[in-house]
Amino acid sequence: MRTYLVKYKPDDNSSIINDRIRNVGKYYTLADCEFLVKSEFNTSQQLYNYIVKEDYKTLSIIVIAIDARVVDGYWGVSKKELWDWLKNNG
Amino acid sequence: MRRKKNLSILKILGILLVLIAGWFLGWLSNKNMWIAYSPNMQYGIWEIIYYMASVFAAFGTVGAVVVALFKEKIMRLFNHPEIVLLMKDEKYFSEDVDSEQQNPSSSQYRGLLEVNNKGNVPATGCEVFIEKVQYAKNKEKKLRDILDMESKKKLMWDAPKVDVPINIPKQILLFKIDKPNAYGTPSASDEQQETPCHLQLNGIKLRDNYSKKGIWEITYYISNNEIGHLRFKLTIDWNGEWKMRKTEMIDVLKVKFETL
Repeated sequence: MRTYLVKYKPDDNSSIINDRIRNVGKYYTLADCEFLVKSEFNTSQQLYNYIVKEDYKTLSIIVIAIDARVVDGYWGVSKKELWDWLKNNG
Repeated sequence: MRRKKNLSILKILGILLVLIAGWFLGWLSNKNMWIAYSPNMQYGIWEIIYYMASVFAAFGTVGAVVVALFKEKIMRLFNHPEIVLLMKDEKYFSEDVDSEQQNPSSSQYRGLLEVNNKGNVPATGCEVFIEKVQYAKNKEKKLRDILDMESKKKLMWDAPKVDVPINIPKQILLFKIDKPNAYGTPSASDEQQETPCHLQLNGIKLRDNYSKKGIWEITYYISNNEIGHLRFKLTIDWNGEWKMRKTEMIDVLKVKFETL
């Protein structure tokens, strides 16, 4: 299981993309069109292919694998739920 | 309010004085001069029309003078805003939930007042002020003023003075309670660092010992040029606990709203 940061450019059909990201696995919504996702996909490209499928190939989107287990791997000021999520799913 | 009441009494006394003076002058005058018709007198049809028209003309002249003098006030009788206040949401408070999350929970509870204008002209330059805040630690204790309220405590709104169009309600935040330790660094997520939540009132900052739990009775007034003042009172009874959802929070946070 790996954790990914998924961010894409808002689109008229964002709800479809959101649904696909949520179906991947455990997720945390950072902001509109920004998610942290825990997935069984081994690479960012596999996750990307799952999200865009055939119909959203032109969507502007990035998928970055992150490792929150790295000591001091994340820091900032945000909602407590985010830190809890990272602690449990990072 | 007291000054307004004195003005009304003065007006009534003025009208009574004019009526008494009129009656007294009539009583002193020659009674025959007020008799427009006598069976012994002969009038032609045009003369009767002339005299009757004179009466209407006199009324018309008096009416025109009255309208010229009190035009604004008369217009205001027919065209004026009518402010209707009501608290948004069931139980008078709402929750801010991030429904995007898998386990949605409230990050804030807030009391919003809806200011609606049911009149026929816009209510311009509306402002809301806190008049008085009373506090008691619990139901056994007596409510007492906790602030020096000599200065006006104006609530933050969309603008310093807000116009309320006809039938387009405007909302204003009266109070909010943020989730304890809602924001922080990763290390702040530890239980030891958790800080209790506070009641936050729009318009004034409550000291810590008056904001953690208790009973608050806040008297507000909304004012503008046309409506004068309209008072309302909010009573908040909160035991200081935070609950994840409104369905649970209503057991520990009771809000009462009334217009005065």
